[in-house]
Amino acid sequence: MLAWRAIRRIGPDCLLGEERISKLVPRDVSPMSDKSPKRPSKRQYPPVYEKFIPIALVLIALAIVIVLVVVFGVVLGLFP
Amino acid sequence: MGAINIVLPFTSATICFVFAVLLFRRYLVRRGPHLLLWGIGIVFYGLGGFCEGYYGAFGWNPFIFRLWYLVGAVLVAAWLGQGTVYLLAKRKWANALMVLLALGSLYAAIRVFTAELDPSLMTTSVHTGSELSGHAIVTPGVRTLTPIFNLYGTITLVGGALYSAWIFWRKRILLHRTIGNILIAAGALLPAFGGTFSRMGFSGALYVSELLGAILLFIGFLRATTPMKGI
Repeated sequence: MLAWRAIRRIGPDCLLGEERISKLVPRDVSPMSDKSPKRPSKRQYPPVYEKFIPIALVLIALAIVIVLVVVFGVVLGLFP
Repeated sequence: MGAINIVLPFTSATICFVFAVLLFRRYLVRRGPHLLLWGIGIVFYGLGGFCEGYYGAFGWNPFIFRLWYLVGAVLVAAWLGQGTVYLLAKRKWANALMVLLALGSLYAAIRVFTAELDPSLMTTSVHTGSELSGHAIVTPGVRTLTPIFNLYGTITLVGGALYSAWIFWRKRILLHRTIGNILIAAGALLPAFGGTFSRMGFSGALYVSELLGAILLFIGFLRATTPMKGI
């Protein structure tokens, strides 16, 4: 009875081998558990930046395209 | 000459010279070639503003015009962009492009300082002549250098800042650098748009955009080099 309790307390790592089990699953997840592995939550900027940064990036990308069109237009003599 | 054509460019020049001092001081501490090139580029920006202010205050001067055209119209964006190339590209590529830029700048200097000028050509159907304009250059081939340098400058400076902002944003790290790079990209684009509007006859567009561009570049640099708490 005592031996059985000891095995239950140590857990399955002891039975399968520490190194082997480490390669199979993340350390914080029991191989006997049916729960999905814990993933670190995705990093986020503050909400206002999450909203406006992509808009700013797209606007700047569009502005670059416009400037390049103008520059090529000047080179080709389309603009005075 | 309107006071706006004196105050705006001199303000731009003052901001740029203060900015350049900060860049050179940072270069002396950190020794990155990008800081040295950005410092030189911002000095060019400031000299361009000074020449515009000088023209607004004292009128036509051939040397001032040539200096303005060389540093303000031809070189500034390319030298700022070259700094970004040193920051993002492999050193051997950056060195090769630096050699090309230095030779190109020397060639441009020779062409600009030997070009024939006619200030009356700055007054056109859409231009009052109150702002400096490359139309004063009579010698053919000189003005075609400008878009080549500006193309390189726009792609490297604005593209580099946009790319950096995108990388930081995608990884959601270093928010201050994301914001700083967005401001730098916007600041670098503004004078290009100002030049376009100026071509279309919007008086003052160039000088206003140059001032706003200098302010945004400066704030962007300060933002990018000053970490925010907790992010």
